[in-house]
Amino acid sequence: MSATPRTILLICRAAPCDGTRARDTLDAAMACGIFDLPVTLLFSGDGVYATLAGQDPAAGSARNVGKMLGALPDHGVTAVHACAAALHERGLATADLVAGVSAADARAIATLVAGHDIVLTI
Amino acid sequence: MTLHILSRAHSAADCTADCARALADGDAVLLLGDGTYAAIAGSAAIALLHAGGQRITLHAHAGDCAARGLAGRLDACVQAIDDAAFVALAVAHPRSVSWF
Repeated sequence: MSATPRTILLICRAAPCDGTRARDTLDAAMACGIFDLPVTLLFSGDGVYATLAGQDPAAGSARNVGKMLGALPDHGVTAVHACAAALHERGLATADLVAGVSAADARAIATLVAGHDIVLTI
Repeated sequence: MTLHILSRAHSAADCTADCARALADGDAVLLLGDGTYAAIAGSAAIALLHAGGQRITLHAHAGDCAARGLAGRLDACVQAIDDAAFVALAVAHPRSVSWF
């Protein structure tokens, strides 16, 4: 019997330099990609800051979350969304984000949650 | 059907807003721990959760409410539940999302 892998939605609401939650989310996403588990990412609240293009933490310190995001397609992870309302409240637009991140409005977010077997907030 | 869990107090209003955006008809919202403060009648959180018009049910952990002096202060739309009902709620929903 072949088991269809369950789909996973990872939600991150933490800013990239606020502890390790954003990095942990991306590590989890990469692990899912490596093991062919269907995974989608949703960044909301302060988590949308993790999707900003041009992040450059001081050399030698924390890993670059923006670069990790950019490397996701290489691991088979392409579904990455940022909450449209959170972006708007923070004065951001999709043009400010790492390539491949799409804005999700309330309806899209509700659809994402209902459409995945497992939802994990990290 | 999704069970949404709110466990933080009012100052974490963004969690409530994000939860409200993700609601679909048939979903349940469970208030736990400091999240039970949202169950107080007339709270902005309850209005926010209903603002989208989705058909949802609201529940609050009775023990956590009692610990915080909220018994008798709950909004009429919130159902206080004990541990057994808490388990039943989780079992009845194929997925749960914790907003924090």
